[in-house]
Amino acid sequence: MRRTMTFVGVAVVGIGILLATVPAVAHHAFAAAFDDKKPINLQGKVTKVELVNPHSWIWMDVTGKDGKVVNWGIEGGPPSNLFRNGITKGSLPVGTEIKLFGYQAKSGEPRGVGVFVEYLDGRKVFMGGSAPGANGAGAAAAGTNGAGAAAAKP
Amino acid sequence: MLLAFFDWLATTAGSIALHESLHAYRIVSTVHVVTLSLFVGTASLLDLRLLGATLRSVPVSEVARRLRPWTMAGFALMIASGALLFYANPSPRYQNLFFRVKMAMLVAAGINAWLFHRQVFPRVADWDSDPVPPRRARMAGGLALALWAAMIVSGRMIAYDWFDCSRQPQSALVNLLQGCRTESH
Repeated sequence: MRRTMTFVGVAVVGIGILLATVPAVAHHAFAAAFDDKKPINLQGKVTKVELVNPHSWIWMDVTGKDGKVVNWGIEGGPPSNLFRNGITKGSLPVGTEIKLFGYQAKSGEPRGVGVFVEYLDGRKVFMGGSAPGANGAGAAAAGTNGAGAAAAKP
Repeated sequence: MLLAFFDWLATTAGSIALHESLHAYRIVSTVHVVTLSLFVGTASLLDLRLLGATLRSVPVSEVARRLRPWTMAGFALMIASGALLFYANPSPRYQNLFFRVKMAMLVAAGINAWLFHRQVFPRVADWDSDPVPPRRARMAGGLALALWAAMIVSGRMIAYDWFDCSRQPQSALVNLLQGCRTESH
């Protein structure tokens, strides 16, 4: 009995600590908010860039096939990740035309998580967030680029 | 009113430095998690002793006395780092449902601890060496464990933006609980 109680106590504290430790690794998981079966391939003009912790956001106006302009919000990693990948406060001024590859929110809203930003001259900058391949490294990136390319075809 | 203050707070140099920082924010959030583990970890040992679940041969006052410096240090650093994290993003946290639940848990746990130290602990001499302390002490310990666990879980959930004010429509109850501004836009 005593041993069982002790075990239960240790388990409670342990789970608590485990739960608490997660944010140091990732603020939230990709799968909780975004859908890997809904790749998005946007092109439009930057309306706002929030290079902030714990997540950065790039907001852009995208004109749909019906001519309607929709403002999309795309989540990226923290400023340090974007900085490492080459996005700084001044590198995406409002009005810049960009392409953005990522995955849409599960809710179906015009929100998503970014894999990479592509400038019209072809330069790519990875968004360093929770999306698979968003850190631009190795096989994961190759796989995601594949998905991005597939999605890119109209 | 408070929201206007937090909106202003986010424009102060310290808040900008934190939310735009390359490293400071992650260091602060890591300190927050480590020190809350220290705080809740050591507090839980006392709570488990109060439940009669562990350290049963050690007097309750002895467990309390020896853990106290660690619990207090953990608490102070947890609060300080948590305040900095709030300072980095004041309004989004203030309007976050899980943040509000977490604060409610913190206040409830604080009241529980205060009542325990005021009404139950002063008479610890009567039951100091009992393997299983009296009912009121057990209740305080059990309640504390539950409230700290709920606090940690709701704190973890702050990261999920399911109920964000910017994601409308939300139910009227959610908007009310979070104090979302829904009339304009």
